[in-house]
Amino acid sequence: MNRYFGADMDAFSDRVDTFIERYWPSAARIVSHADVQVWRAALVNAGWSVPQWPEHQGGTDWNPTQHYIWRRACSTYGVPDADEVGTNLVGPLLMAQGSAVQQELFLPEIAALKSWWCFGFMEPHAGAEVAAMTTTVFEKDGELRLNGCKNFVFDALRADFMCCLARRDDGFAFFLIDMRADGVLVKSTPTLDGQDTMAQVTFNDVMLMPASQIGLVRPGSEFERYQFSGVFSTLARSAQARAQLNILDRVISDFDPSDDIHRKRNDLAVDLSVLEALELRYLDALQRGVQVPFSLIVLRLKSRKILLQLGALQVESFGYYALPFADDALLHNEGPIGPVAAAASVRQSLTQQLSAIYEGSTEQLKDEAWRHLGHQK
Amino acid sequence: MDFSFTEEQTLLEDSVSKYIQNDYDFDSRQKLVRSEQGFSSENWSQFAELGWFGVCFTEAEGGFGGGAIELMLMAEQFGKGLLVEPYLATVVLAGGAIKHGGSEDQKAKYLPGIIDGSVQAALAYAEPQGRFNLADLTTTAQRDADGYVLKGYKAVVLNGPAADLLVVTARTSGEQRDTSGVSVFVVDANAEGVSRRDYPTVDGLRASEITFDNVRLSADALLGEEGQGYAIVERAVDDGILAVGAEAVGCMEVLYKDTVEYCKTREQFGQPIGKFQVLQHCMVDMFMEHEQTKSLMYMAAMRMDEGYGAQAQKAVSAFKVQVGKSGRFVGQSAVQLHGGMGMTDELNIGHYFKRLTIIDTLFGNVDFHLKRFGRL
Repeated sequence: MNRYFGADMDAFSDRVDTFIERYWPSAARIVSHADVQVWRAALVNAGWSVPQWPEHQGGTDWNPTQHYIWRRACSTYGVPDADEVGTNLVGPLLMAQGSAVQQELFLPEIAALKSWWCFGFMEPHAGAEVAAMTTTVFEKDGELRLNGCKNFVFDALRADFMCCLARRDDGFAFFLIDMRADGVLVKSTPTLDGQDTMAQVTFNDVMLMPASQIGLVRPGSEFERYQFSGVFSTLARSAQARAQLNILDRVISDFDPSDDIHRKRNDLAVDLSVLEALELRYLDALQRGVQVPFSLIVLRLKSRKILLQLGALQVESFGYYALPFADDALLHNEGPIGPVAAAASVRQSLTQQLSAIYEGSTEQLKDEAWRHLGHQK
Repeated sequence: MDFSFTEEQTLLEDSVSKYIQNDYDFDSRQKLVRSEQGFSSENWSQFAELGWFGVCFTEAEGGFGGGAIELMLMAEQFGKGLLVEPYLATVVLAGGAIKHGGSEDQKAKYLPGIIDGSVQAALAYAEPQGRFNLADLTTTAQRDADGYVLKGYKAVVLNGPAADLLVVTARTSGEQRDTSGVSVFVVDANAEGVSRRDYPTVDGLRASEITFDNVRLSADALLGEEGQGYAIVERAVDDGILAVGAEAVGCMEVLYKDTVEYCKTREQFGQPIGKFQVLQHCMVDMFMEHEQTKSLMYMAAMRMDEGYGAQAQKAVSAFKVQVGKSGRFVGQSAVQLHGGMGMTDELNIGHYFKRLTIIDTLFGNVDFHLKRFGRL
């Protein structure tokens, strides 16, 4: 037993750090849209935009440890996800079930980070229950037409395409939809972090692109959204928490030593070392190619708990400066209100609340974990 | 990074695991708990023959050169069987203090008897006023012409009743809570002036209150340097934490698995109670607590084997915090989900719960180790 990644992996880690430090602004200032553009271009140039894909599709030949090191560094530096839906969900789905034509059409665009994707899943009256979904594709005059509505769609406002789960006469299938097609109506659903990242999308007799159907989901089979999201994006969440804990530590370092917040902080730090150890055990199994010790759900449940607690503790530590609710533009133009660390904290913790829900509620995950324990409901 | 075990480690784990599964059933264990001695001398000899007591001593000391990982692997299995034989007190605590603090001569004098199973020992470190502070000592050792005179009182000495040898902490200088000025002595349990009051513990073991009434010690009874003993006992106790923590991991595994089995078969309201979502989620939490504690156990063992220092101590304290929190949750949940049966003396569940409760207290509870973790 040993914890060390070894000299070659340490060298890789240094390379990753150097790369990020070169193309991503340091945490000390508020990031602009232009920063994100520079970063994305650098990713594509380096061939690191879709590291989890096979090499011949634009990915890398990294081993699990390298993927982990990469994700860990991205979280530590606060680098934004390239495009989760396109790279983590649609890409792998196309590779597994798409036709050669579909792959050729979409994969290079996704790998080059040229197209934005969103994922249409939940519906107003069905929620996440697939069997109750009514969005339907049918054939009319030799053409495929889509009707229905998807809600809580993340990134729909800026997306070029949607990967949409819809009914077909013989079951459910995914459809690739051009968001600029006639009959696609996108309406923002403002979220509690004050952002316009979520929307409701209505389809009114939308004519689909040729060959837009991927795969077929067997009727009655359990469809889990999170089965598509990448292993490695789950595997390095402790780094995100570690970065936030460091911010917290800076804020509370000059607090009264008898303040109870220090005990809460230590409690959380132990929890965080638990998450790090869980991640390493999982990674070790992947790296050695043996049976993983537990399902990814364990990591998801633990990481969300820690991130939410951390958010709450940050808010607590900022005192009155937890109150200002300024948007990026204002902060960018006029500077932070109160301590720099506090500026985005409340919004960030709200955003974490939201992204946790996207993976399914804690209770849904526990249902899933129970199934993984090998016991049927 | 590699979390796999060597062939020797796997063989060791299998050997202990098979013994616990095949030869250490719950009913026999309960008979031992009720016996006068509280454990089986026959088992003890067998463990010695199997070589278990020598695992964590170097070859020069007469052992096999194992470390924290080997100790962890054995103790986890011991936990599954709720082992009552005093390996913790004799081998890990007393043996460990001699190993870490003793001179070559002292090691040659005491360790062979511990490794071959002929000697029972105990570490007398706790005092009534000291709670978990290893340095809080009112017991004193006064230097005189021949050596030292030991005077004081030690609380809840595990394996006190059976011990031939006592490893005792006493103050030779400094104030009551100073870490410097603590010295460690090896004391013959039958020496004049040593008196014991023996009793059983909640988790089925044996312990003693021990009074030292002007016990005369020769100069070579001192382990290490005079006044520098705190580090010795701290090290032995950190090994002890790893051992009981690993036991707790073993206990938790038994509890969550037994609870899942029980909930699948126990029928109420016309269906197995495991069909209820509330219970399923509770069992998922139990499973997760076990895996989390196990993960920190690995980290603590690896840190200890990398070298003993602040980072190892911090990892051990983090582990102990988790052991306390998870142990309580898993223990209480197992009892709750078993309902009335979980409360009975007849079923094993309550006994694991008791052991977990005691392990939380041993060597410092959650709050104590959270503070230590924060300091380091």
